[in-house]
Amino acid sequence: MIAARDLTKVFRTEEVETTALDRIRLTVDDGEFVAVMGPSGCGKSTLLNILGLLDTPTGGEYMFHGDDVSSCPERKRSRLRRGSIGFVFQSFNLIDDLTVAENVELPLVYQRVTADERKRKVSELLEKFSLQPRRNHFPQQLSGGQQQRVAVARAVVTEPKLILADEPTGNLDSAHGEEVMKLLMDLNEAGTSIVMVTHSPACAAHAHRVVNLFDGRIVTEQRGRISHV
Amino acid sequence: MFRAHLKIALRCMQRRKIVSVINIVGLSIGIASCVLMLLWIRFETGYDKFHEKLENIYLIGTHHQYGTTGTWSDQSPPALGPAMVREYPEVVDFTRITNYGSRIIKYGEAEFAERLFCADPGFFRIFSFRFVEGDPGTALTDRYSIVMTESMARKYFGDEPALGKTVRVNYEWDLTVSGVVADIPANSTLRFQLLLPFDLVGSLPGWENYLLTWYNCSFNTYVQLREDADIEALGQEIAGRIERSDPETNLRPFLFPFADLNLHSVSGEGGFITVLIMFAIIALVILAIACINFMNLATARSGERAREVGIRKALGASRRELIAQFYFESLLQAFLALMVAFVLVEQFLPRFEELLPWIDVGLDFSDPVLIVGALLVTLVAGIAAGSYPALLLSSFRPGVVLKGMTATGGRGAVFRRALVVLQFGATVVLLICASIVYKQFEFMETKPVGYDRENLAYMPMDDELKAGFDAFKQALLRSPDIIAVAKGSRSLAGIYTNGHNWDWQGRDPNVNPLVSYLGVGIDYQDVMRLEVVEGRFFSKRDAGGDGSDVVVNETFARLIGGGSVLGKTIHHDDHDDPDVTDYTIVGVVKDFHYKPLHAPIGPLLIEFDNERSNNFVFIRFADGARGRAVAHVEKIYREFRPDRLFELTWVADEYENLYRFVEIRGDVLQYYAIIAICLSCLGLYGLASYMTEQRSKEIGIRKVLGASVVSVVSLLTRDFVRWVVVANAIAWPVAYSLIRGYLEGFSYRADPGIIPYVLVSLLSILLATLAVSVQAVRAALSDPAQTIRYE
Repeated sequence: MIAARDLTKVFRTEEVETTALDRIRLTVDDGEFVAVMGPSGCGKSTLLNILGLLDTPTGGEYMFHGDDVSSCPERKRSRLRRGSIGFVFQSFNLIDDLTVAENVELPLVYQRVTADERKRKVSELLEKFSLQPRRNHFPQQLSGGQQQRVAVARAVVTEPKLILADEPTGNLDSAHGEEVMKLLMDLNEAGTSIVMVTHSPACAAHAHRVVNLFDGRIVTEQRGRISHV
Repeated sequence: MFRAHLKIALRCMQRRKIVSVINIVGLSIGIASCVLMLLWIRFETGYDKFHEKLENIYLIGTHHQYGTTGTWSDQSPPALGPAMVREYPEVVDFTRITNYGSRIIKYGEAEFAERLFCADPGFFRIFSFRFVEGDPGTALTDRYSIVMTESMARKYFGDEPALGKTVRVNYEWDLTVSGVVADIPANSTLRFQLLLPFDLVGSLPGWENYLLTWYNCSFNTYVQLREDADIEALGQEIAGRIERSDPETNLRPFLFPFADLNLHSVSGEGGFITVLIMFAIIALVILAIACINFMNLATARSGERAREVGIRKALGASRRELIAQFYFESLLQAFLALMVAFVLVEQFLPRFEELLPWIDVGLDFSDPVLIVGALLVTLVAGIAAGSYPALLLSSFRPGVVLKGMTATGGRGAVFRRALVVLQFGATVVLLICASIVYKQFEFMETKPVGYDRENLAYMPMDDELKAGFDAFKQALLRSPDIIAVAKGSRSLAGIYTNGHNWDWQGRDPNVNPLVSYLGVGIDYQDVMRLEVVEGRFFSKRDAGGDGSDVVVNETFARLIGGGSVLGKTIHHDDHDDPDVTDYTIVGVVKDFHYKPLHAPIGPLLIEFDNERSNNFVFIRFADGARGRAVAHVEKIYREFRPDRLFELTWVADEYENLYRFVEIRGDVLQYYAIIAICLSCLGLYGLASYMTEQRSKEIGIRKVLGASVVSVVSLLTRDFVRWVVVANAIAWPVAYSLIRGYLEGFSYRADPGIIPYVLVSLLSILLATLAVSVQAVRAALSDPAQTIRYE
């Protein structure tokens, strides 16, 4: 699915140069669930942004579905993101001015899916995620767990092959956190690849493989799913 | 997509009410200013469009050369028009038009003073006034006919047909109504209520010869030319024609397109169009100020929307889609502002028409030009206001903004400052110009003009009153409220009777000044309170003289030169009185203004008791006795002329009217300047709110570390005030050069000095500080624990 070779990201300001990622090699196969762990500032989120085509690497090669996308223009990256990648963020990142249903619908709008089709898909998904009664609520009116459920629903509405989750349970209490992990596991079982950044060993334990980052480098990789929820 | 954009835009506005209100109110004021301007421009450019032959109608103007100086006039000699039709085949028709002044019209009991105009029969063939009654082809052919407008006909005859009815004019002519025209639109150069045949006036004693002259320029002459006429060649031909009839002529005639008459001056310089362009630019400046507010607020809170941009990009939105979304939002607000603007325009129109009393405009939504114009203004405003935010916000990189790694609100800070400088700069220029134009008006209104125009009034004299003048004067003087009474030729608010070719010993042959003439009777000096600087004024002992003794003003005395001019003789061949050609100067009066202050004081010749000096009677009233004294004058007048209309004109009112246009310009400018400063401060207030909010954590930390309220307020306001000061520094020279150009149009002008500049600058800085510090004080007083914890 994705293959990164010698992926490097350097942030430069006038006086300081910070290497966020240092020659990262990482592949994620179709249907694989990879957890990325490491202390704050080790480059986890930077890696996720590059994998998600939200940011470009300063060096190295990044193959997405067999295409080299390391330096492709924003227009192409946005086209690839659309439909291929779903995002789940720690802080949910729902749009405050849109209702639950509209937030879930948004990726379909950018994919130019017809209104009827959008309506059908959104309803289906809200039903599945038990959000139907909340469909006309605004994000501020929901609990953290509910907000993240909406975010996950939005990430999967286009049926992407890859979901990138940046500490999806970081802002949730344990019960809600587990609820969200269960959703991700189900999606993975249905064939969606997942790359998840997390601080929580409990969450990481659900992954097929755990990659440990330190100072921008991969220091260890553990294989094998450790436990099931 | 449209619905989705609309929904989010409306919710966005609802959530950020203050910003939305600032944006929409600001834009609507900007758009309303432009719509009002559009209505005004439409009115002014629509002048005379109803004349079918508009493109073929020309006014004959003349250029007068006096020695080394020259003047432009829209009038031409009376003999020229008839000669042109006779002698040049390309001239189809002609008409002369003259203002015959105010005369009494009487029909049954109805009796009013009305302003009369006279024209040749060609008038209704050349110009397309719509006839409600009568025939345009023959309306002015009979000497004793009169044409009136519909509202005049209604005033005298009610609902009865006017055609064929006879009115008495000036208590001497019975004129039959030969035509009624529909009321003339406000934007017509030629506006009359009552029109007499030129032939009638031309048959008066003295006029017949006058109409044959090739030099007296006191009529407007219009000609209708054939489509294929060569204007330039014809101009040269008629110049030659005048020269053939008057080899000594100093006139050079020219053909001026009637269609250009409203907006352009016959001299080719300036004209009303410059005023219109100036106000159009100001309206656009107001709109620009509102757009700047929009841009500044949008970019200042870009941090707030950066996350949304990041999410949308992560979900697959392309940059183009985001640009479209932000443009949509700005255009939506602009269109909402347009709706509000229409309401504002509707509300303000009566005041606007009061400010510009000659215009007649309305919001006509079926007028495509207005609608397209308003939409265009709105579109431009929406795009101008939305461009920078759309381009800035859509450029955010999702990876960066979603992590909140940069304080994105700080982006564009330089650009924002530049816009604040621009906005305040323009505002300060407007304020300075408005205050100086007003100062000039005040200067002209209060400037001592060399005579006492307060408590001074005059009325016209007819032949009976002229004959019984001495008795009338004595009767008036019986009242202690009346100080002095005298005859005179014209009100000193404007003397336009003049002539050249004066000669005196030692005259420089290159000097041939245009000398203005004033005719006066006994006691004139006391009535006007003129100051004699040398010699004497006229008195009883001049009565019965041959009229060769004259008084001149200082300017004329200086021209004649060489110390005292008393006893000197000046010579004039073709002056009105053919028996007298040599005049002796017996006195010199201190210069006084007998023309508006736009023009310099020229040489003036004051003559005693000639035909002209019988035109009017001037009355000087005692202070504070106005009401009682007027009643007395009317009572006496009724004794002398029981069947005549009593009308009294106050010189001070007349004087004020001279400067109406300066006042109007100042008023309109003031409105615009006030709008500009309000909008600018409103924008600054909004900007300061955001900036303060962004720095709330910094403020909290500073307070924890011991910063006082004053130091926090000064921290927050300093930056803004600094930029307003920079704006002032830039505005001063701009305002100076603009206002200097304006003041050069006046021969007598106020010296504005530096005070208006300083006051405006202080005011702008004070208001800006207030706008900013409202927020700053609130932030400085807030509980630091709150802000720190929240962050």
